Amino acid sequence: MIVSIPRFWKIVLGIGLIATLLLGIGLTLSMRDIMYPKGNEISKGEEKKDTNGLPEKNLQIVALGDSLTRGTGDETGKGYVGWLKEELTTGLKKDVYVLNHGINGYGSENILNDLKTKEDIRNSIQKGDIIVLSIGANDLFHAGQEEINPEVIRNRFSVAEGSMVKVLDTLHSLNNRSPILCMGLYNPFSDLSVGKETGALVKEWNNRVMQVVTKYPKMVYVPTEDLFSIQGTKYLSSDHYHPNAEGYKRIGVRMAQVLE
Amino acid sequence: MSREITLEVKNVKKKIRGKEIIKGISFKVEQGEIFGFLGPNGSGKTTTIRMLVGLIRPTAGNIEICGYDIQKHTNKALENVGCIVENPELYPYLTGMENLEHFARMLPHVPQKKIDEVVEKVDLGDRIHDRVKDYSLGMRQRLGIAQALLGDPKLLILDEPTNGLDPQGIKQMRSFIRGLADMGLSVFISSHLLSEIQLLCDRVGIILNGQVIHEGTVSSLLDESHRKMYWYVHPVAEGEKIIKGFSAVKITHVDHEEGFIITESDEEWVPLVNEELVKNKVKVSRAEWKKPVLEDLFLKLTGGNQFV
Amino acid sequence: MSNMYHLVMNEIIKLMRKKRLMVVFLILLVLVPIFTYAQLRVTLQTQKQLGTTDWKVALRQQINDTTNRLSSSRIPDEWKQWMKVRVQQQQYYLDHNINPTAPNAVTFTREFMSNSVNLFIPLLIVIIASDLVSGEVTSGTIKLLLTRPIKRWKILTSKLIALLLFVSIVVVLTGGMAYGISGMVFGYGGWTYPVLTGFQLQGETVGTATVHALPQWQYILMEYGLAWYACLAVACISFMVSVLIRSTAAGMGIMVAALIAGTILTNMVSSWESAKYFFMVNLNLTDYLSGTLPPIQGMNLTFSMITLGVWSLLALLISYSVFIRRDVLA
Repeated sequence: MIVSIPRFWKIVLGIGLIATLLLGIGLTLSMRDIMYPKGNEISKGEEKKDTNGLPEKNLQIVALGDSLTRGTGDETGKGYVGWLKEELTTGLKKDVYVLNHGINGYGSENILNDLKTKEDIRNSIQKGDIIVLSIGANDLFHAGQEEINPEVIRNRFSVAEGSMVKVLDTLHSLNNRSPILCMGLYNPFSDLSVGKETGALVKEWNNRVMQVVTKYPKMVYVPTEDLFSIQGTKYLSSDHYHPNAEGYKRIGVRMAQVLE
Repeated sequence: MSREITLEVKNVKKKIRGKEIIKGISFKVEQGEIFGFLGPNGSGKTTTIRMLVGLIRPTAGNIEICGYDIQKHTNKALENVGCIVENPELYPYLTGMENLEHFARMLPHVPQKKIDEVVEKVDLGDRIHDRVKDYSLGMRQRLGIAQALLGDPKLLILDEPTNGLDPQGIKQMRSFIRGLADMGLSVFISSHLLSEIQLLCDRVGIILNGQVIHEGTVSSLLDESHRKMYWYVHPVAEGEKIIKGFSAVKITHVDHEEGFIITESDEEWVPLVNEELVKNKVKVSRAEWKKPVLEDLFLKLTGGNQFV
Repeated sequence: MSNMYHLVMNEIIKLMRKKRLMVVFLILLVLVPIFTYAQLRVTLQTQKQLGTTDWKVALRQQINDTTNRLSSSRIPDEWKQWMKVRVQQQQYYLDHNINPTAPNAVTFTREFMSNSVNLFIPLLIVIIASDLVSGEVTSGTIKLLLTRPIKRWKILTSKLIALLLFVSIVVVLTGGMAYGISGMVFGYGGWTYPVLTGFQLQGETVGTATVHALPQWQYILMEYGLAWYACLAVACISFMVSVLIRSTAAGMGIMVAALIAGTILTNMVSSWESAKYFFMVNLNLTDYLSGTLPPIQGMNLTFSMITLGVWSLLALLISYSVFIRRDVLA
């Protein structure tokens, strides 16, 4: 009866109906899938070779460790890893990249666990040109959670050292061609009443670390204790525990000096 | 031969927000006649028209179109009506033709031939394929009527059909409406202009404050006795004094600035008044009969009480 | 029935002639390239920072970052919970060697919908729906429409059907444009790449017993189906507003305000539990597929779908009863 039907009307109707049908199917499928989920064997995604087209002349830093590695307290967000990268970039005229696996609160057991279970972290260490590590602080101090008691801390030494050795062992087995920089502890409590005693503890711990480190040819112990020993609080952030930007910078610069 | 009644309104009332807008109106429209629905703005014309076409439900009363009650058999009733309520509002973003097709699809079985026929009837020609937003008011009015005629209605309801048209357009519209009525259509026209109704309608209903205060043929309404005499005299005060001397001549208005006096009287008194004026050295520059305007008519019909 | 066919035809012709779909198309044409570019910049930035295109490295860094943020005491618990769930899922992806954001147009299409389902797409729907009835009232054409010998409910139904068809078209169009435009940058592949779904969330632990991989094309079909359901609800409510409010601008304003309020509420109401009965908090249906933690405890797909369904039905009920009875005065 009715003529002169505009051409687009039927097209629009058709598209609309098809779209509705498709979306309706999609909705039904997802309702079924979400309300009655069934797990199935997940085939691993295809392993693609890392074909990155980055310049040959680059340097990969892989950082492991706790909040110090993460850079907590550094208002610029760089942490010693970031400052190290900056120093190396200008010093070596190379593109320097950072993979930062540092997690706040990590102790040596956590790091060890990551190294054992997380394939991608192992991978990155194998490929890394420079490995940096901060370890031990959380094994010894439970900052903010307890009163500082030198006796308690000293009692933790042997366990902490045991895990640390395992971490270093694993690192060495993963990568024995690249330098591994192990950051020494500093005494963050120099302004407290127990400052003297903790200073001695830190020294003792660092000595142990140094001794372990020297067993591995590519490993370097980087002391930081001296950097904070005279004007300690000047280089600490507002939490009186982590370094501030200036403090991290000094650590980073020192590491760069070791490498250059 | 008694003619078919196409529209019958029986004691219809409407309250809106507690206020009675329509206070019980009744009238009839017969086949082939043009019925004028006359009333000033705000008298309830538009509300009534909306009730006629089912846009508003009456609070009480019945409306029948060709025997079908608009409330109970809405569709049957509306099939027999073509209407323009207020302005001829069509889709500005569609062409005239697309508008007509749009409304044709909403009626049972309107062939393309019918669409072409109404387009020809309202003489839109090639412009029918232009967007309505580019139409003049007159063209919109004509397209609106074309739309109203699509369903071959028995009753055509037009709200102020000549509103906003130029004199040429008004003239065309009148002859067009007359032509439709001659073909047997009933046409219901609302207007606030008496002259409009006078020129076009066979019968008239006058609505005021929600009541139909008069229903009858136009000729009976406008009988000669309602005419008024305009005297352009100088000096006015002198003239007024003299005219007051005639007890059979009633002065309804004296305009000192423009210099005229309006009187009501039988025709035979006019030469006598004129003679008296001249005799008393009052200059009569002009004297003429004027047809009553709507306001006067209302004054007459309501005795001057209701109309403000 | 042919009656209804013609009525729907009228409505679709009017919608097309009003160029509403064109507006939606143009909005997408402008915004999708912007989002594509932003996505590209993010990808390039990460690559530049990490010195590798290896997604695993990037994902590991994301996990590390989130984990570190978790230790901050300034972050509200609800966010932490959300982040914990996210970390666990990302770790799961990593463990199974599946890139959750494989850089291709299909992934972009998938991500685009999950990011826009709660605000952007509903806004497009509002553009179409908001003047469907109020537009006829403002232009006065409602008077012609309602003086046809056709029942009012049929006229309203024809408008509703046209609206639903357009909702479908808009959802599909969005996907099509996201795919077409982003493909120029990211490449058109990735249809069969696996996506994981079926994470069971209990508090902040993620159950993985029912996790399974879907090819991306199927995931997208399902995701867009869910988004479509959310859009239908928005369309119904918008439709009601259009019936109730004579001014199109006011109606549109109300809908936009409601939708934006929804996104704000989503970010802050987790402690106000009854806020989950608002329709706009439930629009993120696609989250249930990807396994993102819902904004309020106790929300799940069934709940959200029922909530949206009830809102839609009520909206339609109100629309019909008002439209059928109302005196046309304006």
